[in-house]
Amino acid sequence: MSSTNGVVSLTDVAKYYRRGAETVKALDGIDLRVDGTGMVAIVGPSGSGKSTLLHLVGAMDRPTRGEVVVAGRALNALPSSALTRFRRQTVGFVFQTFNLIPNLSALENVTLPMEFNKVGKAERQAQGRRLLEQVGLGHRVTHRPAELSGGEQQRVAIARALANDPPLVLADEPTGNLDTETGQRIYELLKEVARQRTVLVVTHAEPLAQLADRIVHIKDGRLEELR
Amino acid sequence: MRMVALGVRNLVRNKLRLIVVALLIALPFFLLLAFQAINAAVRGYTEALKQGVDTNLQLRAKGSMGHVNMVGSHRLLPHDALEKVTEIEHVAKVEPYLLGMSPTEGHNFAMHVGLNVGDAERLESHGEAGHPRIIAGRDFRPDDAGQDVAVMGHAYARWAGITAHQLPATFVVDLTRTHAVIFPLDRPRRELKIIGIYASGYVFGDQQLFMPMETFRRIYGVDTGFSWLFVTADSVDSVAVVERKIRETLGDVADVIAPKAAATFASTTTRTVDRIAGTVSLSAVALMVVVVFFVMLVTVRERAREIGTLKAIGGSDGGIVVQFLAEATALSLVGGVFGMALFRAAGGAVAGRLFGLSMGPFLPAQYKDTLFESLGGVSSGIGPSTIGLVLLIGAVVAAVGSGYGAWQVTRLSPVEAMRHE
Repeated sequence: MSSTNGVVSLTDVAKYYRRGAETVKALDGIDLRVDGTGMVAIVGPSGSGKSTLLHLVGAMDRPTRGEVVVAGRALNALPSSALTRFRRQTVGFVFQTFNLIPNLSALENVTLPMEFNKVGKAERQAQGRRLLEQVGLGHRVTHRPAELSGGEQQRVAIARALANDPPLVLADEPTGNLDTETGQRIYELLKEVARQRTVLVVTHAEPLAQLADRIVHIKDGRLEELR
Repeated sequence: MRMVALGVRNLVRNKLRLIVVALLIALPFFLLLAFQAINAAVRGYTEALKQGVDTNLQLRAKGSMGHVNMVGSHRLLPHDALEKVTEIEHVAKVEPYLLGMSPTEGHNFAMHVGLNVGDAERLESHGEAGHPRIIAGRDFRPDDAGQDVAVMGHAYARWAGITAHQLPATFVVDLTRTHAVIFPLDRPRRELKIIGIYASGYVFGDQQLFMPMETFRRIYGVDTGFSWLFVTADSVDSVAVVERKIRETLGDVADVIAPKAAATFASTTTRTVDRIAGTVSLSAVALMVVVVFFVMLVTVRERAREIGTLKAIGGSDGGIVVQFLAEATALSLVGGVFGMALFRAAGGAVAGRLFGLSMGPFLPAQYKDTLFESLGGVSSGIGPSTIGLVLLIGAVVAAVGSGYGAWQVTRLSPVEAMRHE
């Protein structure tokens, strides 16, 4: 795992969208710095720009303005191929809707990022099984997403996010499609993950956010530190 | 290779999608094969008809029958006409003939014909008929060239008092004998050895005598020129152009008698069939290209979210496109195999109906009816090269459709790709 000192640094970051003739300011001059391991919860109302912030940090989108530096790399300056490598090796993403590949088994979903990273078959199989064991799904390795519950699918997604041992895990509303009890367990799992790496979690659920080491609030495109 | 394997694995894993999309692809494959089968049957049938159409043109000296001793009509074609006509494009064969008349009884006469040994022994007045059946003795052999030998019709033989069991018999050619339209030639009598007797089925055809060209020239004292040239065009489609070239080459020295059936066949049936078959083939290919392309394009674009996810977890744009290309190519091959299986099972019946709907209405009635009956065995009319070509076209189109769709989505950021649906 890479060093996590100064993992995320955003300086005057803005993201504007065009919606017809209107310009929507999803983010407008955000400054954020996240150092070391631990879980950071990003909270705020719908449409406040939480997910957009996560997408910019994960190189899933480019900012309109400002500088995004993650794990020592200024993402603005990186070409598309370098961003692909960045997503493969530096971040793991957990989606609200799980986004597992439906035709692949749990194990194949987890090993897919390692295939992209050209990890040998034996090694990725072993690592995939170990990760699924770690998230409590050692007995479900051959099951496809449709054969798993929502909570199980999200645990597979977390295992997939950890496949290439990234220093940063980004989770966008990871409990949004889960019941409260299951959501609580997913947060505990992410909390455990955050012992060894940085985890940024976007959530609506304030009680779950209370589990985080740090909470930032985002409203109208601006950040406010809550804890 | 890793991404290719991923694509093929993805294809096999979703059996429902595999079957549905493969069937969608199979349908235009099936239609294309059916139309190819119809085209093959139509073209085969047309070629067979062409074989039965006369492609021989007859050349005679301008305004003359060319018989060397016929009153007022004994002018010959110039000797170099043979070489000039032989060199014309699409001329498959030229057979030179020399003809002389010989009185028999009353106003009747027989015909003496000089020809190159091995040529068709065409019957005067029935130039399209050749190779009459030998009923006694033998036909010419190559070593008969230049020899004083002859083959004669059975009616002429009966007049000459020659019977089958007398063969080989002697026959005397006397050119001093005359007739109302035959003038005498001051040539010595000459004996010919009759080696065979033939029966042609024509009354006048059986009153003829064939001898080698060189023998004819010696007997009749004709050193140069020809009575007739029979020109065979290489196909029914070439008759018109050969006729035109002959007229251009020989100018005003020859009458050219071309078969009307060939011209009619070329201008109606052949041209119509070629035009319709070409249009139908192109339409079937276009249908397949459009259907396969859009099926693959839509199939890929419906998976934009999956592509976005693959990008988000580290898949490269090129790798993702390769994965979808491999999947599409394999899918099109499966669809092609489905299409071929459908074609084997129901190709003949469907091709017959398609023929009735597509080509039939545009063909001449007599042609259409006989062809329709011949389409019963249509399913066996497609060769491996056609099937291979159809599969190749399908695979290429599927790859282009899929690759284009995947490329469009991979150009987007992962977030945009996931929202693209």
